[in-house]
Amino acid sequence: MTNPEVPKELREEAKGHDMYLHPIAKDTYELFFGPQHMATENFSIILKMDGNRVEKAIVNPGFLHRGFEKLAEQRPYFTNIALLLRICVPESDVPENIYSMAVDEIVGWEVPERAVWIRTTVLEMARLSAWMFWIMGFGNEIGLYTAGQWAAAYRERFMRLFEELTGGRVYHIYTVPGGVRRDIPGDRWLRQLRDTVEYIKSKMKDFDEILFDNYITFERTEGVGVMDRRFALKHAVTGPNLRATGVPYDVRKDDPYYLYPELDFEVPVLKEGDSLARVLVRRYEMEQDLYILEQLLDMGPPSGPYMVQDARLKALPRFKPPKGDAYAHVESTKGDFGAYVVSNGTHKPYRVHVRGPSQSHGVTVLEELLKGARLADVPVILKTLDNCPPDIDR
Amino acid sequence: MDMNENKTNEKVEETRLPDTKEGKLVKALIGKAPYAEGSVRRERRVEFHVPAERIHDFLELASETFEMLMQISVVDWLKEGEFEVVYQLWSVSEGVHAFVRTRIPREDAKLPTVMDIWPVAETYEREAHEFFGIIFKGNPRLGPFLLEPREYEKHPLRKDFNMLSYVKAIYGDDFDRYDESKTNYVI
Amino acid sequence: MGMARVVGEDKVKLRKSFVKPWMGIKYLFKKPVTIKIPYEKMEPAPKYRGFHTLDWKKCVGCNFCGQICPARAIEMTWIEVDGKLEKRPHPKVDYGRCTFCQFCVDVCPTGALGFSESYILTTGGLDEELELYNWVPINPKKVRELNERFGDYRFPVERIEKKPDGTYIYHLRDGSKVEFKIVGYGLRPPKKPQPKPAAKPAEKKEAKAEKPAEKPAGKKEEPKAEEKKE
Repeated sequence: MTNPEVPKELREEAKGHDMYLHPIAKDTYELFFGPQHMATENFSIILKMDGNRVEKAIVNPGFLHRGFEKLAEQRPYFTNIALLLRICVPESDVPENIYSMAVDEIVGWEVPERAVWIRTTVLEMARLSAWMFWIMGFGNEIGLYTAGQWAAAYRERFMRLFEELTGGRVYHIYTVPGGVRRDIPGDRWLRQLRDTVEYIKSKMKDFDEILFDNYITFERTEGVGVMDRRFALKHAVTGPNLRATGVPYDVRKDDPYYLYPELDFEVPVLKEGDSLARVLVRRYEMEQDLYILEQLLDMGPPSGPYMVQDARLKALPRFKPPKGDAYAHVESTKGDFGAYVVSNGTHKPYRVHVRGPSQSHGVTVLEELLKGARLADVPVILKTLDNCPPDIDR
Repeated sequence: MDMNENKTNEKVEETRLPDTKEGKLVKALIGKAPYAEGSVRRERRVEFHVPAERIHDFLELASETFEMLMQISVVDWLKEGEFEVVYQLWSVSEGVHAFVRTRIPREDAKLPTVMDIWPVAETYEREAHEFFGIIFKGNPRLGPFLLEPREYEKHPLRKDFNMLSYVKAIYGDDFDRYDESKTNYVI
Repeated sequence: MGMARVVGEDKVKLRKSFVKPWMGIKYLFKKPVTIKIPYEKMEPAPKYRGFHTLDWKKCVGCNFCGQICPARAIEMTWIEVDGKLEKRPHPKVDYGRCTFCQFCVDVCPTGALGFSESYILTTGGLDEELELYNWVPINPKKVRELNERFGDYRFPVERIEKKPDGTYIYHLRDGSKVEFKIVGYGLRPPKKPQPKPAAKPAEKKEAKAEKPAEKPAGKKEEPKAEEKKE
């Protein structure tokens, strides 16, 4: 059935868009939420509103589609690092690592100990800087801008550290199959990292005071966007969002990679499954990440090479892994981030498929959770799900 | 004769599954679904090959142990004329990742939807449909999702999609370069 | 060794407070973290991935950089300095495409290609200004010298003058010049390195004529179907 209100000349073009398939009742209206709205980042939601309540939400992604998976099939293996990391802006090390892990598995490389230490540290640093980014977004959505400003300033410290380690601030292009590209710039850098960890740790109390203990946070998030355990599993919800519904699933614990089996950390779990639970789980994980970084620094980087020794690497552009495929995933702040890489024995991957957590959080889950929500709660639900549109589009 | 021999060989393979949690998992599932082949790839990774017509039955069985559908990956094997559809499953209770593989012909790419088992499959199937043109019967929302309609019709992740000519048609001749060996003209 | 432990609400939950948020007021008496440009300056890290440098003497023209480049920003260029053709082609970097990943620097077998910490290049939109974005990198020593002298991490070249016969003059920031002539692109040397002046336009055409010759390879499968469907 086509909506008779859609003008004839537009009908052909509108085909396939749900909103045009059914006539809209007279007392509801459509609201285009995003992509200019700050909370949605780079995608939009078409909301069918009944007064202040959302009757139906249709997610409309695609603003960021850049054809990464197609492009990755046209580029040599190592080169793809510079491409795929753009899938996740706040923690660009995650796509680097999943891709590198998958290629490592296909080739059968045993990554040197030092590289493993560096990779683990980089991932944890990325997690922390992504948490800061998230505080910024979430604080802004509920009107607590101060916390957001602080977080942005603290994130700068990690960007500085990344800049010294990798040579880039946001896109590090650092982890490559077989190891990492540069060695640690020296003990000074390790000391700086420890200082930063101490500094952020001392600031956690301030964040608690102004954001997490704040009654405004509680009022805005309690009972908003509730999902239960069964719903979460059926919808492939992962990461803090899943843990907020009572499932203690963490990739670092259940499919351990790198140094995580040797590290001591706690997996926070809450049962409520509402926005507040998601916020509190995130806050606790932030503390745990600081703790993990401290342990890593206590361990210290093992000596040795930071890249595998392989004669094939001499001709890097023409590097050919054997035939095979592998799936690798890591725990990002947004959830379970995975990559499926297929090699057919040539110097370019045959297929790279990325599994972003927002593919489930940002489409099916969001559409379900928004049903019946107030308009003012839409950004809160979006931010507590920590939706990252580039995952969906790629 | 040869066929029979192969089959017995396969059975020997199946009984040779390792005595680990992964091996037991595969064994239990294969026992319930004899049409599928299963193997253990490594720790926490198992693999199943399932004929396309039984995929829904198999996934329904598998969903009891593998609670989450992480992704539906499609690989276009152009030379064989087939799409390989890989259902990436994760078992939260066991901590095992399963690849459930099935192959369908490129010409007539149809599969039943698994939305009834995992509602999240709706999104994955929309994506697979958009980029490869696989029709998931029973999914009501197949159609342009991420792409514009003009791109959607081409199913751009198929291996025979000509990216260069498409980009040139849309953006003109400014965006072209030779590939890294300087032999082919590419994006 | 430690392992992941699951903790529940007794540890994770917080109690809401009406008073605590006011504690943030103490920040009113703290120094701001903002960097006060132009009074303060942010130094890029040592080994920050900035613009390229190239030691022309070391470059063997192997095209490894062109092969690894994810953005295809590198084109091999045949250069004539003072009427003498360089033995091997040199990379020309297009900063409109470059992603500053520096994979090209990593794979350079002789260490000819390097990078500096300079990262600032701003121009208007005029064609002659846009020439700056596509250059053959210059000697690292010169770049370092300019960096030390000015210390503001700007692009070492101020203006690129292009003459109709293919001569390029790089006007560096300290007033010195680098002058050379681009006689062709690609891996194979241009056919006539030093012909009569009249032959030059023809040479250019040759370089361009290669392209249409390659085109059908990519184009033949889908001849213009796209526009029709729209």
